Amino acid sequence: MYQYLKKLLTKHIIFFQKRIEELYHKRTSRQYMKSLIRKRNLPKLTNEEVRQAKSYYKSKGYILKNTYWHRYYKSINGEFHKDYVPYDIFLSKIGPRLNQQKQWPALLDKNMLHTIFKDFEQPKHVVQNINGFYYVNDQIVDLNDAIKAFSSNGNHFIIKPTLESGQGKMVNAFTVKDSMTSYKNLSLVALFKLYHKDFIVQEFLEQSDLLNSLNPSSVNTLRVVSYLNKEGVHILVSVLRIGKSGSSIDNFSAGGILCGVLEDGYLKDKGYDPKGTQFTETATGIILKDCKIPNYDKVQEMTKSMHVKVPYFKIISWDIAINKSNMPVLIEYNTYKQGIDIQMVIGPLFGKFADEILDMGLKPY
Amino acid sequence: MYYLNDKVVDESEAILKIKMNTKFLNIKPSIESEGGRMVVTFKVEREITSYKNRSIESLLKLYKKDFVVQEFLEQSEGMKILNPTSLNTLRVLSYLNNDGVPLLSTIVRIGKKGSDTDNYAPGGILCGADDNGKLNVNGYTKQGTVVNENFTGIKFCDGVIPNYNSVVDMVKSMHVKVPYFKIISWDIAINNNNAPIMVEYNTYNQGLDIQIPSGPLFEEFTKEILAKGLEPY
Repeated sequence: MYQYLKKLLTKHIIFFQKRIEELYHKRTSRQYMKSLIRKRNLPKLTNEEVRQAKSYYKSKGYILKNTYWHRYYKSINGEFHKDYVPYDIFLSKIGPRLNQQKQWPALLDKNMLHTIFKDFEQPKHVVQNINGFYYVNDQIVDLNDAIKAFSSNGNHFIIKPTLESGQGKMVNAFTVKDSMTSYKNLSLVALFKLYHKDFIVQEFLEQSDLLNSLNPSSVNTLRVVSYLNKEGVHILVSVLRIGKSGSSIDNFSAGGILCGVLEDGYLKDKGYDPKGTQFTETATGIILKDCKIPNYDKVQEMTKSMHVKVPYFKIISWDIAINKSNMPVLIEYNTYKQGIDIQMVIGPLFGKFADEILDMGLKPY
Repeated sequence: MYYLNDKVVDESEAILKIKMNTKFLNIKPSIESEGGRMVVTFKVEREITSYKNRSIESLLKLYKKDFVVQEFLEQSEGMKILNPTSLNTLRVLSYLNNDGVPLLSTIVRIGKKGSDTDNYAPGGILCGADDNGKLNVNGYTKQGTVVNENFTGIKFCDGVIPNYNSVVDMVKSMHVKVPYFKIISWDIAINNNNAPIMVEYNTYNQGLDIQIPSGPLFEEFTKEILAKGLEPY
């Protein structure tokens, strides 16, 4: 009886919760894009383009209330595609249907990456803090032993929160000398205190010479988006993020360059920064289209093998670096609030799977 | 998606794999199953399962998605004699604090005569065990009956959990993998090589009725745990 009543009540609550979330996501993403368009005074689409985009989405069962994202992407790369995926639709309709929300809290802990993807290359972890417990070599240790772990490892580290960090927030690189870190001159103990709990310290990744040559101050990573269906895992798109000269992170929003990666691993001829400035070469003078991602076939292979480990999510954005030996290394994966602005450099996200994916976005869940 | 050996396969391949199997199999939901609900043991003969004579395909359809089919576990003789028709498992409660993983209690769940599950609710017996894996004198049924021997006349106080030391080691090593949970109830079976096998773990809706056979749950950690229960979270 209790179970029955609970089911009856929660069914409606869950339904409304989903609707509210959907509306919230639509609203916030639209407001953001609208203000960006206004602030930058982005050129309008032609009437014909607006008509094409709307009728494309109408034919798939959606009502396109705005063409903000089509407008934004075209303003950057000059290309109009009716099938660009608008973020408001992706976030509110497609994301929750393709990716199981109930798995989000557990599987997104970055401290779990070494367990879930244990067969895949990842940066070496020096110290982990999981739910307040310190771990070294997967064993619980006390704070003293956690600090001692630094003496037996290299001297260049990355520290990051393992829950709810996005866009490089609180991701810091530091060196250690006599238990003092180079981060604001904090001691290791004080640095740990700053992160409180749920964080990871990894050895800094030495990247491939080629990627290093594009911008040596940041680890320049690939963002690979994969899609899982009954036939297997498909790579939808792939882009390279090149950090801004002098910046230690490669995030696009921090001013880096985003450049599409072709099927064969070669970069596209043009990359863009967030302001829409076009680049054909990096600040270090490397011509983009002459660059080929080392072992790109291994990147694709690794992505496909990793995706089948987490079938709870049908669409995943992977951050992958290439190490000194030119092998792919998993940095992290994103399933919740994946940004899809990479469309501005690589074109419509869903490609030939558009019909199938858009159809799923209309199904009950 | 169907998986075989951790690889995605299509349904026909999954069915074929079950069809080729001659041993007893278990099928159970992999999300939100408790109290042994929908856990079914079956065998395949001439492509038909022994569960309500369903075809393999219709059995899988019944479970829809998020389930797992496992080989039925052959249990240790020492556990089997307690009740041969059920897999008699241990319920071990562990607690994680800064000093390590102390075990709070261990009990054995003995299925009802003829029953194929060892669950307490449908008439099984719970019997506590001490730190060395030796069973207590008395066991209890859900109805409150105190019994000191099983249905076949074996005195509980003569029973010892085979290889109990390995059970303790295994629980301790597993708990540190999931520090998100400070109290965990582990269901552990002992296989026919007397090795502990993890059947599942419970962190949400853990039953505490095991206090009936083994006494107050928190033991010497009572103060520490009750204090945590008052902290903001």
